[in-house]
Amino acid sequence: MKRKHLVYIIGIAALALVVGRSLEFRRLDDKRAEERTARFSPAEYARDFWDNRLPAALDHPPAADELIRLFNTDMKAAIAKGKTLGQSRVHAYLLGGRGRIVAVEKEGLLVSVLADDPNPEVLLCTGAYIAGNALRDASGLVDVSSFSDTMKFNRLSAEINRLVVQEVIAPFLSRTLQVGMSMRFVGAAEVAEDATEKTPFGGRAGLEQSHGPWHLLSVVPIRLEVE
Amino acid sequence: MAKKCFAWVVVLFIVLLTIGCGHREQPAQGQKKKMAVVISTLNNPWFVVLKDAAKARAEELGYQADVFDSQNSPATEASHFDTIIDGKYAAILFNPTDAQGSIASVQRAKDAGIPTFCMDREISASGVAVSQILSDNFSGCVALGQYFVRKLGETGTYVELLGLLGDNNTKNRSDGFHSVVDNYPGLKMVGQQTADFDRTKAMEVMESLLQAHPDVNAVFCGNDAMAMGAHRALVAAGKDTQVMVFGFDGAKDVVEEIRAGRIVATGMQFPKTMAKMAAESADQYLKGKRDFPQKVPVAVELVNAENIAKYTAYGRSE
Repeated sequence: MKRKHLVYIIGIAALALVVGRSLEFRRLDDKRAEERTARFSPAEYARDFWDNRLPAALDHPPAADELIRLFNTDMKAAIAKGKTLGQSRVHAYLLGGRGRIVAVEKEGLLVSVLADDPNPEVLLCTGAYIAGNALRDASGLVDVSSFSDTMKFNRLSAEINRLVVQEVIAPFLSRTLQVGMSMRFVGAAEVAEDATEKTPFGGRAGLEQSHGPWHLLSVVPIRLEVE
Repeated sequence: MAKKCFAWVVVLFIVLLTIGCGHREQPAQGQKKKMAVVISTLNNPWFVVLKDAAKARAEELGYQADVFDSQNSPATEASHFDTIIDGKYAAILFNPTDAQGSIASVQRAKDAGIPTFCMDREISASGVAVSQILSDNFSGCVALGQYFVRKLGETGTYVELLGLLGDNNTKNRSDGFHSVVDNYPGLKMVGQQTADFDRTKAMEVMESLLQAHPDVNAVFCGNDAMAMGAHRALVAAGKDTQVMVFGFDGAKDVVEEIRAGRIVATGMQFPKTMAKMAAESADQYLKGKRDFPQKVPVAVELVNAENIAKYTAYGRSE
């Protein structure tokens, strides 16, 4: 009787092992994420990202003036605060702060954010288009591994950039902007590890020119407000 | 009695079946495990560097590394996978020929218990390869597009030479470039043709494009082999000082041409880094690690006359 039980137990265990090896157990969340990317619509994904996921990441962005000082004086410490996509010498940052408009250019607003320096350190990109992946990558909310191919991942970035132009830049530019105005902003920036190797942000890249060109931190705007 | 014997036979059968399912032939003692290095083509120096780096790192890690050249043919590639599966290789370091067409081969390897690690080019699937280590082509071409606009001064005409149409890299590079350049109405693309990442074909395509558009200001090429082909066609037509050439790869001859001021810029990929990461990931997998990111983008860096001192062929100087 005992031996018979033993035989059944071994048999059932072996059967369970065979069946178990032919099954794959996965988290339901992973499966749903996979289904979401399979029926991928960049516009829908970007809208969900913009309306539902990004706002929480913008509540307490790192202070722009502190980050700029860090870029200029201790790039290693600054890198530790950024987000890095895969293997890269470029890091992405969310940042926010106050500043004074120093110039209004076609590419954007030149803004001074360091209280002790009247020179501009930031280019708030308010031109006709936004390129690149600063916002997607700085948010840290989009994982490349959840996409079946990188083309989808990149199309998403293009859609997010389109939302920035439509919903941030266009309404903001409808008002009259003047040099000297104070403003608040939240945005995203990509910074290469050697960006301040020769010239700090806010420094003059060409000493032969008395009015610049300035070495500026390009910031993709997410929220813009004139004070 | 007969019943008891039958029960024992069933149990024995199931146990043997269970053991059989989990069994993979192990190399004899003292014999090295084998890694297969499958490369889309060795008819392009860039891929030779990728192959050499993958093979060298696999050998450093103690594996026998065998190279398979797919000659840009998905059929040849599929046949290589048959050989690899029959040959009981431990892992595959894989540079695919086709983002869609190569998925089935990787799946067959997976079903046979052989892990695949993609290098540089991707397959459009998740969960088939263990990990895919890929150049961030899109971002690299955003930077190239911005430099292109700067050099042309926002006005002019240009042509584009595309790579293999089945390769996602071709699309990502072109998309990244156009995500910038198409925003400038003064920049007009007057021709766009594929030259399959091939130098000779690029020369022929550029010759015919020049006949149709003799006053073109620039050519954007999806890789450096095509940039060299286009440059040759321009030299032959006496237009090499008039037309700006932009490439992508960071190949030796193009890095030298940038240094000499004959090619304007390229996007530096890092084949040695990608190959090394793939070999090391495969080694870690074979030693038990299972937690790998599906995709690992490796940044592409803009190389031009202003920063050429920092770069050498296929990587950074330091």
